[in-house]
Amino acid sequence: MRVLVIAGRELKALFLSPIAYVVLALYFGIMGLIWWLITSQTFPAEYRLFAHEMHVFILFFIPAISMRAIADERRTRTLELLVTQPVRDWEIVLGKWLACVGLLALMLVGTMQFWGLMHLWTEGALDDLPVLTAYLGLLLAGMLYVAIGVFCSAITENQLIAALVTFTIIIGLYFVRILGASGTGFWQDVFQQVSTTYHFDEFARGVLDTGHVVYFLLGTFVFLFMSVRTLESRSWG
Amino acid sequence: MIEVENLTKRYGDFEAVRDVSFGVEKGEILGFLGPNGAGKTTTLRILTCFMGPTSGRASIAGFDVVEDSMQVRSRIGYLPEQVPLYREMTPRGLLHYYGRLRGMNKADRLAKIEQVAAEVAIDDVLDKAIGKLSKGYRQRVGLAQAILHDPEVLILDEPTVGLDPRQIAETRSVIKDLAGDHTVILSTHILPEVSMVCERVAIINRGQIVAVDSPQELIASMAQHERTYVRIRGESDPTGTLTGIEGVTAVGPDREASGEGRAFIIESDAGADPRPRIASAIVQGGFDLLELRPLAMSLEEIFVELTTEEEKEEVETQ
Repeated sequence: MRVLVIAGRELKALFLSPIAYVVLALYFGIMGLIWWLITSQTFPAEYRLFAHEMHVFILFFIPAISMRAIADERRTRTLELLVTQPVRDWEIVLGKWLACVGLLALMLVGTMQFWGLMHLWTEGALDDLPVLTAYLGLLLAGMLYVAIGVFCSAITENQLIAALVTFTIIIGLYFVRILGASGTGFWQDVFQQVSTTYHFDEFARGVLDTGHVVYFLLGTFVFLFMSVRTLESRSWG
Repeated sequence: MIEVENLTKRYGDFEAVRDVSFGVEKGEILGFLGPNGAGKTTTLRILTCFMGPTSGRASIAGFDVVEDSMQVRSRIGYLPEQVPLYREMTPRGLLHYYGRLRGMNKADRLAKIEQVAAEVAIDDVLDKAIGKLSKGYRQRVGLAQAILHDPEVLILDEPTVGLDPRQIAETRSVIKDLAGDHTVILSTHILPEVSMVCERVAIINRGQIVAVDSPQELIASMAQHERTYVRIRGESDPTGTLTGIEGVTAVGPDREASGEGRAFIIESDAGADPRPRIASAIVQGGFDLLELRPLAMSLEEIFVELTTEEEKEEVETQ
């Protein structure tokens, strides 16, 4: 499977550069600090609060993970060799996306230690369902953010620009709900439906609704599709 | 093996390639020659399915580069200009990666990697990071990548640029050894490379093919006049004697010559072969004939002539 070959190389490259280690170390460090802050105020804490903080902080790290995906191959011109292999453009995009999602999954799995801690402290009284749905929500939201990141990485050969544009878009999707809060009726609905927080909240509350799953999957598909079209246009080199 | 018909590529208003047609037979090495910016890379990028043409067709082994792009890609080995490779990978890892993308199984890859590494002489650096290798090694790693899957067609874009003379010689001999089993297109702006390596040459200038032929034929057809070099010893100036010879159109002293006597370059009509007449005229004129030899037109002169003629025409029409 060529998608997996590309994803495998990409993931290895992330670990051969300092990026993967810096991202993992900082993310675990920050989440540890936040865990300490939350539990020192309310004990036993609600995992839901923690899940929200995890969501906020992946916003900062995903641009760093996805920025090099295609931009760096374009800068070093290795993309020319890759796209002339017997490989479809969608396989390249999907492979790149999958590698970044893989690193994101590692970040999320690493925070599960706090879940375990919570179990010990509450002596088994913790309701696991909202935690599970929260992790599913984080993964789905992360998949969308990474797709946005891969798209931004496909439109430029400058990694910094890719990261900044990615960050702007995903932070915008995160906060657009506030715009809706002041309005009423139609626009409130629109801003709410577009915002990632609105959909993620439901996951964090332990609600599993197909509509919210579809939102993240559809968004992911749209940005991956646009990445493929950008790669196909070859308006570069 | 390779057919190119009326290929045109436009970027906005700029025509990078205009109505280019040529063919390459199986097992042949075609030199793709042209000044920088002539459209060499654009043509090669269309052949390698990197991008589509604006109009015209190109096919490799009977497969169209646009419609059967996957078939074409699996039959091509490509070495892009400047040899872009992942610097953090080792040559071994890189070859496994491209082998996998091309659907080679593990046993196949292991055997082929050993074989091509020996062929291009990179076996001693297989496990070093590519970023730490010299340019000559990197070039050969790129070449190994291009021949790993035994492609029918090899497309090499400026494979010797930026190498030192020894590395250039090594790379050329590797390429020469590849012909026969593979059909090769080699783009270059270095003239001696073409006459050393290629059986046929396509000269491209300003997006258009100006000549396609073997280097020898090209030289023969382009020679509108023959030139003869003579070295003469004598008391008086022999110019008058030389200009009087039948068929001679011009006589000029060879300023670069040094040594005994005086040297001249005599131009005459093509096919006239005035050498016997020159010899007897010199002897009858009372001079000593020290040296007489025909001067062949070099590929370099043909290239300059073809590519500047074009410019002259364009200036005239403007």
